[in-house]
Amino acid sequence: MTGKRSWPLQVLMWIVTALFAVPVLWLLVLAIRPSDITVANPLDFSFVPDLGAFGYVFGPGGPGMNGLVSSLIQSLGATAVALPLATLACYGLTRFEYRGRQVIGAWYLGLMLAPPVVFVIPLFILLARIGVIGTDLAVVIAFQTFALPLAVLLLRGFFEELPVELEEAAMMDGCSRPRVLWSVLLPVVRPGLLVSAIFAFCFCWNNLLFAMPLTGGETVPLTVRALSFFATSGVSWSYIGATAVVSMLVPMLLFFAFRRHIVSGLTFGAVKG
Amino acid sequence: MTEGVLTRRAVEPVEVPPGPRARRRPWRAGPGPWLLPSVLVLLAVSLFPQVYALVNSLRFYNLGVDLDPRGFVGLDNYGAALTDATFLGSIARTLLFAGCVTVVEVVLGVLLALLLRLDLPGTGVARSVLVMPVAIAPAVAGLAFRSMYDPATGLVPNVLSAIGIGTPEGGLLGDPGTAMLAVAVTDVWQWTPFVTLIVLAAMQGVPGEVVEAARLDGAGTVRVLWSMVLPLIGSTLATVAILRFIQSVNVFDIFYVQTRGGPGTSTTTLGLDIYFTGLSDYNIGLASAMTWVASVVVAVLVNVYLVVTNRRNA
Repeated sequence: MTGKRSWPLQVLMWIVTALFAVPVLWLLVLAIRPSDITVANPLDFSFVPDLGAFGYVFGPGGPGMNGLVSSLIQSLGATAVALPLATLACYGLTRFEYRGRQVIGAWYLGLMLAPPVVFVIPLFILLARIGVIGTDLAVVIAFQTFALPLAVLLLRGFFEELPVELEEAAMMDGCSRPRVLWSVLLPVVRPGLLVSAIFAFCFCWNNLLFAMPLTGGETVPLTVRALSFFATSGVSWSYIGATAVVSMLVPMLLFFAFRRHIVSGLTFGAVKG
Repeated sequence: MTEGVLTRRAVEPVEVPPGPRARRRPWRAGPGPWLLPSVLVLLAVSLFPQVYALVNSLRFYNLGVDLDPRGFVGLDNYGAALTDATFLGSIARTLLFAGCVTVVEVVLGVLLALLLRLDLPGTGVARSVLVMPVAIAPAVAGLAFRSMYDPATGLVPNVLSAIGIGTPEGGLLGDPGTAMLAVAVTDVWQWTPFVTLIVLAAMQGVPGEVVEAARLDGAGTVRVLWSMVLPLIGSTLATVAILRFIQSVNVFDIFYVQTRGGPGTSTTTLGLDIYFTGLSDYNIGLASAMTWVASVVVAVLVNVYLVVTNRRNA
């Protein structure tokens, strides 16, 4: 497919690519365009960029800074809880032969595919009973419903790829299994830990459903915060744009950096990239 | 109930039968201690809430009436759910939505992958752009499209009116005739690139020399795709189609952000109906019964997925 025949296809590719970029660029336009132009002439793209919306939302005392910090605390917290548990689970899933191993693996996958709304309502009541609604802890607990199975499913692939000979040699030398995991396996499985952590983090960062009912005030993360600018008095498109741009920048950069693992990450390890 | 159905499959894999050594192995030396922490956490955050929902689905529990659950009412909540026109409508709507977006996303995704596989100049840029929709939060994607659909300040109505196409007075999201389609476009925008990335990865396994040889033997482009490429990526395609279908049945964020189920109930999906019944109307009993109905529907789909992916790996 080279030469003269390819130019219509090339044009087609550029048009399609542009179409996929439009929603992201539109949010950016909303964020940096003075709001009076957005209201008066939505198709005017010859404006002077104005970073005022970012300044207001993420400035001192602004509503976005709390959201950013909450998003970070909750996503990092949930990842920090999920990763060690997933590491232990993956060792158990890949370094022993036993009946039911596949069932446990399928259970983790089933949890990733179950409708999250099924967990939200009972978790809301149970977390209210123990009095943690509105705290970061409530969200970190609720995020485990997907962060932990996701980390297990992704990390398992990395564990399976490693040859067990080295570990067997270490065990012959009298190393205990925990010791083998810590000193032999973990150093070589580090890329897998990073990939699992990145995807668990992004899934938490992008979550709306659990964060919405379980947070309030200071603990509201960015995804939920962005919705708060739809006031009855009017919609603040520039604030929505600024919040959304910051919210999407983080997973976009991380996905781009780890793009070789996207396919595996988003199919929960079912399709290798 | 996801777990229950999955457990039944325990009987069927004929893996390595546990040898005498395995049977004598003390529990401490086996995988148990390694799996226990994560299994305990997941039992606490997912299985326990599900069982708790099952109990709640059998009793009168309305936070608007009383903070504590009242007596058991048998299957009344299930009866109420399964005769509720809104709930039944939301199930049908959700399945229709999921079916449509899955078909569109898979077809467009494959076509786009074929286009990118030609390696025309600029393919690298295109691939980078396609990572963006996949990475961002569905809630943010919903916001992007809600802002683009806004009847006064949005890009879409303004561009359409500039080229002489009218849009509904209440806006694309405010009209029962267009709201569903508008949200579906959001979903297609976000997940078509996902299909493309997967298909591109799968097509790397299609050897170029074989395709070249077939071409020399006179096979046309369509023929090569149909007889050579499609069979090789078929299983991956089946996996991604079922995955997309399940995830579209579970859809929540883009609808919540853009329409909250409105206007009327024209975009009320299963997830929204359950969410609003439980956390806006506070009818926990009814919402719990609804979650169980939804769980059964998705559990069936999940098992289809497991069968398909397992056959692939075998």
